[in-house]
Amino acid sequence: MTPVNTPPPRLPVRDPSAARQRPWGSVSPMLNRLAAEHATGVLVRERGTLYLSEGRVVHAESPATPGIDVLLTAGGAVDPEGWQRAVEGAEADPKRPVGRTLISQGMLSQGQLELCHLGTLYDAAYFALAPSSAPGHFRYGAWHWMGPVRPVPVSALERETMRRRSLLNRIWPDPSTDTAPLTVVRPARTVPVCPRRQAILDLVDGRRTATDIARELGRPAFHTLVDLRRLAAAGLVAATHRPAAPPPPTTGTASGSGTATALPVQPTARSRPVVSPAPPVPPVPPVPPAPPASLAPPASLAPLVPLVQPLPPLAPQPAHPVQPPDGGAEQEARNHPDVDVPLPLRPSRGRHRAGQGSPAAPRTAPTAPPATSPPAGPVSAPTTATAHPAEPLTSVAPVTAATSVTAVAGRSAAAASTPGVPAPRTPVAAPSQMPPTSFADPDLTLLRRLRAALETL
Amino acid sequence: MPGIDECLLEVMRLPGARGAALVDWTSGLPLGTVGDPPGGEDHDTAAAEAAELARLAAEHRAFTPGEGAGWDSAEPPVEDVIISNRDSYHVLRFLRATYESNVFLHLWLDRDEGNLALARIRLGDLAGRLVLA
Repeated sequence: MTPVNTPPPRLPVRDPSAARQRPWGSVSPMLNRLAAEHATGVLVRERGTLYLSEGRVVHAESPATPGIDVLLTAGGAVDPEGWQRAVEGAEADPKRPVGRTLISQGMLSQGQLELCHLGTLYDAAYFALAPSSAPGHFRYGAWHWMGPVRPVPVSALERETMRRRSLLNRIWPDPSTDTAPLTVVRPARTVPVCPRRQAILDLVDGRRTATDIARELGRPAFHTLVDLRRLAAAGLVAATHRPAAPPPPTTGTASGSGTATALPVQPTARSRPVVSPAPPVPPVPPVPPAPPASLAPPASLAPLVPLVQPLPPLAPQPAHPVQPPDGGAEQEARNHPDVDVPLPLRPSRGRHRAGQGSPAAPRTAPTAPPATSPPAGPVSAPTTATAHPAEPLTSVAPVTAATSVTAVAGRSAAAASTPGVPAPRTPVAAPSQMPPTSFADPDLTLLRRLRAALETL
Repeated sequence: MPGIDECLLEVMRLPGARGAALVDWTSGLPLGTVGDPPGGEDHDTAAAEAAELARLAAEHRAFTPGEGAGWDSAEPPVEDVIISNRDSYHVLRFLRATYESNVFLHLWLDRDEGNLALARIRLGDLAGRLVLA
């Protein structure tokens, strides 16, 4: 028996003072801890994945950038079948990582492999280490089929990531071209464009994002970001849709669909590039089928409804019997677990996953008689984008005092005893007259103001 | 078929070589460094500055070969950039790769001890071997 005298891993304690001492700051305290303890495994972050071997980074991947397979096969350096065989061989036998196979079979030289792999590693790490709203997690012992090619110290990776951020910022400080669909601003004839950037410019069509273009050209995404910022600085390219900047709650001027498009965009980083510009909320349900007589809006409201496209499910709201002022915001917090809605009752994410859905249905069943329940149209709206304004208010609306108390008790006793918790909600006769004061969500504030305006008409 | 480190060590065997680096000129990232950093700061700063120069040389149309020169647009338009000053030479040699890569070899050469013509030939040879399958 061999004696094992490995010391136990250090307690994972975050030390912000250590990060401040480094000139480049810290992009991921967790990554520094793992490097310090010489960990081996995979660090999964919101926008990418880092593979560590004995505290050094050996591979990185991100959905925002093409992988090394795309770069190598797009340029013809490696044929796709040979690559596929190498990957299958590595998955079957960890002792035959892809990198070594490619070299031993003469598909790549050591220099080519190192150059290309280092390039993709730093490229993917730039996105993986981007600021994220969710904590990363680490799985010890995991490995990547690429195998170690040229391990990179964590400190070098962090320094380079910070340097790349400032490089982009120096070229052109507006980051909207990094993620949004892009459009050509004016013909390129007036400004000379080098062939590299001309190839990018040719692919800008109003739909593709930087990631799409990088994948199509087989280029690292960061290189594409750099070229796009240069094109933006030259006034040739612009983002079609700026990342949703919530309007300040005080300005309640909803003008057409421009403001409405900003409503359903979740603030997670990955959802941003998905937003397609042309029909901002594609499956907007038409004006809901004629609701039951008790819910039908006044006849004078009917022509106004098409003006506020994503709002039609809200139109019947003023006539709805029960609509607690806080219910919508609370549901909003549940629908957007990443948004910090200052609500004392906001459930944690774990509970949100475990307990959502099932309590909502029984809650509505006993209190809401079928006659007053809203029409099926808005509730079964296909996308979260449109269901989001409709669903919260309809499903939470019939909550009575009794059900809300049970909900509080079921969630957490601590939250229920918090002094800031509002009194158990009672049915409110005229909900729209209650000003939205207890929450700061601009979208909901906007919705309520609109509804109030509709009602006065 | 050398790797990055072997290639850089080979470069440093040239007479008068003070330092060398392999740099990505789009991002300014040093993929490998050896010897002293020119400018007296560190290799990162030197690489970023050299990358800026290399990028201008590679992107501006004035430095591309003319019609009929047999230049394939897949390769870098410039072979190398040579700078001389009172005490040293700098040679930036562009690499040709089959995939998208914007990498050059940067050699910092002592003016008294070094031989610019020899260095340029050796650098081109090594740059070719590094990316040769």
